[in-house]
Amino acid sequence: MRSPAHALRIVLVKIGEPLARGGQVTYEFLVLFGDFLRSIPAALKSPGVIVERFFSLIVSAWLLVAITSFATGAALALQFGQGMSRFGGKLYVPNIVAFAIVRALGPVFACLMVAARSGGGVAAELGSMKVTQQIDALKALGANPTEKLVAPIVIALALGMPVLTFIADVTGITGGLLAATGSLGIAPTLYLQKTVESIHTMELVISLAKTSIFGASIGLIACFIGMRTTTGTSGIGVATTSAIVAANIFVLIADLLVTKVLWMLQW
Amino acid sequence: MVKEKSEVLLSIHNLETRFGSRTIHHGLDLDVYRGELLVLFGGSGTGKSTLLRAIIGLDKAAGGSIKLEDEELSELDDKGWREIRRKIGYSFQSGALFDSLTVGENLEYPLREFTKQSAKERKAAAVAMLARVGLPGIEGLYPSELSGGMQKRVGMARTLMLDPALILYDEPTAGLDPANSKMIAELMRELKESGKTGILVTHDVPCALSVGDRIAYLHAGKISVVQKRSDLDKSPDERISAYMNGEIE
Repeated sequence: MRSPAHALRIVLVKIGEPLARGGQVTYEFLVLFGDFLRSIPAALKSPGVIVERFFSLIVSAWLLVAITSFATGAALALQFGQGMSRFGGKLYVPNIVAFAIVRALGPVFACLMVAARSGGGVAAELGSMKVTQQIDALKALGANPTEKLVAPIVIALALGMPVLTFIADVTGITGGLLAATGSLGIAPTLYLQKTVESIHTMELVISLAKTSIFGASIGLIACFIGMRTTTGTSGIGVATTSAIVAANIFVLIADLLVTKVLWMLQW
Repeated sequence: MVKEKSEVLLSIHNLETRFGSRTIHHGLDLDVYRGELLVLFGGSGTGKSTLLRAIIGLDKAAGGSIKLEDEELSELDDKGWREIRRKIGYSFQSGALFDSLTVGENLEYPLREFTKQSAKERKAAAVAMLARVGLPGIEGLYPSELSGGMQKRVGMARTLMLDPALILYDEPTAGLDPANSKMIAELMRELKESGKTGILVTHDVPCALSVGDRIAYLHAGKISVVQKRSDLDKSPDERISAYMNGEIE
């Protein structure tokens, strides 16, 4: 029979190992973050690479973001229109749609789409470079992979996310407008007037600014996971999935925290 | 041929490396003389490639000393490593070409990193290097358009762009047909004759014997024996001959 001390040791090992692993991963992520911050000035000296990344990660994602947000805005208008008609509150639909899209759904959906599309792509690309030793080759040739690979991606996402979020806001409101005018009988001019009344400039600015940070974080998470790929081609699939899941969870939790902080500050 | 009292270019003393909790090398000592091609034999998993990676700093040594031209590598910071990597070329087993760049751009990459050459000069240097490795006119192709043997030769060409003092060859003939293996061996011999120092990790015994000056055998985390190629025919060390005869995995 095992002694209580032995049982306690097993329990401590079972708890301690994942904690130590988690601590190690967090430390390595922070090291990458520090490297990224140090690499920004050097990366900005090659704007062409950042522009290239901007096109591959942001411009190519606009249609996906627009479709998602358009459908969400339209569905919101229909759902709220149907529900609020029962209480005679149909005319509040433009306000609700604008409020929901600009403050919450536009930024979040834009980030989720980019995390899935561009974050997954980045993890797969860097994972593939890792397993084919291209990242080692970069180092062996005297280059800094964080400066050459990570920084342009993160900067492009930080700059591009607000643009995509603005597109998401506009298309979401357009979706709501078309659904409301077509199915709820609200006049387009009235819809637009109520939408403009509902959106405060500072709300829009905060909404766009937070997605810049979310975009940078999606890039860092995807790069970190991609560059840790270890086990051949199967590892690339695992890295891609992990990057998408981790970035999505990060966006949702970070958005919740930002919302809570803003709520406490009564923004 | 390397003389007994040749100048030591690379000196490794009491090296220790680890992979996670597993110790790969412990107490490893090795001197590499300027101008020689040292062949590193050893069974699978004995840490031959890990040794090359430790020399160029891709994997950090856990202890011991690695000196290149009397400069201690284990104490280098990032900037120091960048300068050292100009002096050490690493020829990867797979070629490790950047697949988003053309062959020409791959060759120009080290020049862009380390020199202030104009685009025209870089391009001319890449074209000349491709001709030197017997692959003229392929600078516009992408790595995916090349055969495995061509990729390795282009990888070797990229390694040579900065004219390194020491070249690390990681299984350059693995998986190649005899013709391509012969071409790679020919290139290594040519480089040696031009005065380049090299360390060759390989399982290809005929290639190793045709180009190597000394043979080192890595076993149980240490260099267990180093023997001159010229002495192998007369009185081969039993461990090296057992390895070459396939009696040791």
